[in-house]
Amino acid sequence: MRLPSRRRELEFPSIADLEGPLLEVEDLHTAFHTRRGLVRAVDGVSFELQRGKTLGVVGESGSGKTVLIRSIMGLLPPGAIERSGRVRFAGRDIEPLSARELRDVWGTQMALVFQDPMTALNPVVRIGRQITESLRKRVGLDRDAARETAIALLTSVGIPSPARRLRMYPHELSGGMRQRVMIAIALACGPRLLLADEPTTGLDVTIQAQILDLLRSLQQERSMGMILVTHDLAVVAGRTDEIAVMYAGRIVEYAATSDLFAHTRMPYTEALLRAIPRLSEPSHTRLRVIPGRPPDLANPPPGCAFAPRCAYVQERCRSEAPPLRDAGPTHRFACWFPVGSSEGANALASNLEASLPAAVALASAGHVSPAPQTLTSTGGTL
Amino acid sequence: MAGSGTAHLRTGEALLRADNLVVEFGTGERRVRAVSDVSFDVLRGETLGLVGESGCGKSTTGRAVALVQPLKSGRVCLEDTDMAQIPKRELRTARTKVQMVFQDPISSLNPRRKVLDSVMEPLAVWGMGTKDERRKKAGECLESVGVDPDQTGRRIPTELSGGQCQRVSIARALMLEPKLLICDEPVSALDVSVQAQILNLLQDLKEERHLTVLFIAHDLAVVKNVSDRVAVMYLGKLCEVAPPEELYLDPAHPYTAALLASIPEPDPEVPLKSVPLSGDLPSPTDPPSGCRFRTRCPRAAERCAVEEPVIREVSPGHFVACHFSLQPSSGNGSGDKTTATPSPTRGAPGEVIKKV
Repeated sequence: MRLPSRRRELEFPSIADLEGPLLEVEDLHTAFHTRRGLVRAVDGVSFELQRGKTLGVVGESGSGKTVLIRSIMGLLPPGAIERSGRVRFAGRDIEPLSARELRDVWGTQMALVFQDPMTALNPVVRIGRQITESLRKRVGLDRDAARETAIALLTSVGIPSPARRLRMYPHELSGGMRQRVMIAIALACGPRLLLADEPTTGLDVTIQAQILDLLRSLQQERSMGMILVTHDLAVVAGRTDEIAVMYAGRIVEYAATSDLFAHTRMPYTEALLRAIPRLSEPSHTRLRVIPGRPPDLANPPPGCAFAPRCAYVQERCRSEAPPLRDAGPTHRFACWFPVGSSEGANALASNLEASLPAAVALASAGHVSPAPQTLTSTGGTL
Repeated sequence: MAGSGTAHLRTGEALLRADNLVVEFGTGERRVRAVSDVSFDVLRGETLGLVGESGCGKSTTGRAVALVQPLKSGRVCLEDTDMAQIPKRELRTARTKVQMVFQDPISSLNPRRKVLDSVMEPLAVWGMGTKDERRKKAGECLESVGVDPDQTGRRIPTELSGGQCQRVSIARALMLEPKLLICDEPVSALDVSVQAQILNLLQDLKEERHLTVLFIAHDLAVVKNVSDRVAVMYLGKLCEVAPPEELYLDPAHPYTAALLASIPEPDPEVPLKSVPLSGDLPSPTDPPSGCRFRTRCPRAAERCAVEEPVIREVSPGHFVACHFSLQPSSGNGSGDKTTATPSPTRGAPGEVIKKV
């Protein structure tokens, strides 16, 4: 039973009829006008996502990954924002749509699982209503049908005693439960694309594993596309088909997951992998740090944004920003002196000789690296 | 699993000893024993990692040991002196030996004060030195943590990054030249690359200043990296205490094994393990009888509901509180396990999750 709508709703082809990619992002830019100047949070991002696939977007604070997701959905705050580029969902351009029109997209086509459930859920509304709200308004179910569906949803996300939980408030649930409720709300209207922004940050590791498994199985069940945004490379390692690594608003490396780890090209990705403390290492292993901090996006340095912290940096990097280029059919990276190449090896060697801090940090001893890197500091090549 | 038991305490020179700590919150029916009979020691110059998930009581334990959390019972001994027995004035002085670094770097600093002033404050509180001397010392401490006192010292916390704020907090903690540094989740709020910087920094400072450290965190890989000894807590009790290598290679407590199995490896070639631990934490106001972990434990049997396990040694330096602990493999490398503790008769032996 559909409630009569006052305007014609946007139509999207069904999943089965979909021929091209589920999501296409082309040269997306999003910048904010601030007191310090124009902050280019997303600075030319392009990628495609096929249905049923999972893309991991990895980056640290300030990389632009959260703004990217919101910009794709059109969920940006009002105010002085400049946005350009194209976003195509199921073959249809959605970036020119107004917020009113986007309401036909949010929830039913694309849904977002937020990072912090405690702030994303309404604290004074019972869980049940937060789920049934969209079912009633968007899908047009009546009260009983919505309630039934809500119970089924809570069950599908692994919440025990779902009928009882409907009557609870967010603060009465644990962190893991709240996140499951967030996922249930996101899935309520059957979206084709799920965007999860740091869905497990702050959750205990055992709960994290449960939530990630849940997302993966729901995605497979429903053939959804999924974008998993996180700062934690370990989270995306086993659970994504492709990974995009972001730095200072741009994708600096994009590859199939196993490729990214086995044939890393971009020095930033390599440095990130090396900076993670691993269980397989002995205790007191000196961690290989990335010196310095991410750039100020209002005043980015000329050339490559990672140059000030890069172990492979050369003069060219400081004046000319490298474009994304191919390393294989699904592997793109942006670097003049990539990891695993002879130019890269020579660059690293000369930096080591000059005692550049980043190079020294990368090559520092005391670490039997389990990361499958093929570059050696003496200049071997891939 | 119990905090009951002190088999794991050592006779060496302990800078810090906690004996049978009990911390309770609330009253009547809503009473929670956040820390329930926990004992441990930290030797001079050692880093003890205290690890566990939300609600296990590790932060409360940290605060109890920092003498800022009142105890229901038990005692805290610093350098062999019972902190509850000394006169108030001496207690004030004793507190300076213990300093804390907190989790949220930005909110643990006064948002309206320049960071240099925040770092100077401990000396001001103690009336030590003139303003210039305090400023000088604050400058030195800031430099030792890699923060420029002139440039960055003038700023307020909201103008700094998380990593910088955490460095400032550490500098502030060093001002009174403490002997014991308690770090409560010092890197969880930080990005990976910054986290690595802070962990290396803490290691350097520890060596330079001969610090003893109690490092509290939920991230096992981080804890392994910094610790000389690791204690695992669950719902207010100690499960297991062991040197890091052994704990991670040969966990004896099923909870430790489950925790380890849940950690994602940043390597796509490593197959994902099936989630070993189901369900959520039981209510802390009404914890399970006997062993608190039994409701989620794959090895639980009748004995576990009736009798709380006492902590005992399973191999040199490795202690566990469990009736049916996973046995460490014998040291000869043949891989066969000693079975001093019989497997429970009910149910399968459970998942023996081992890291190779």
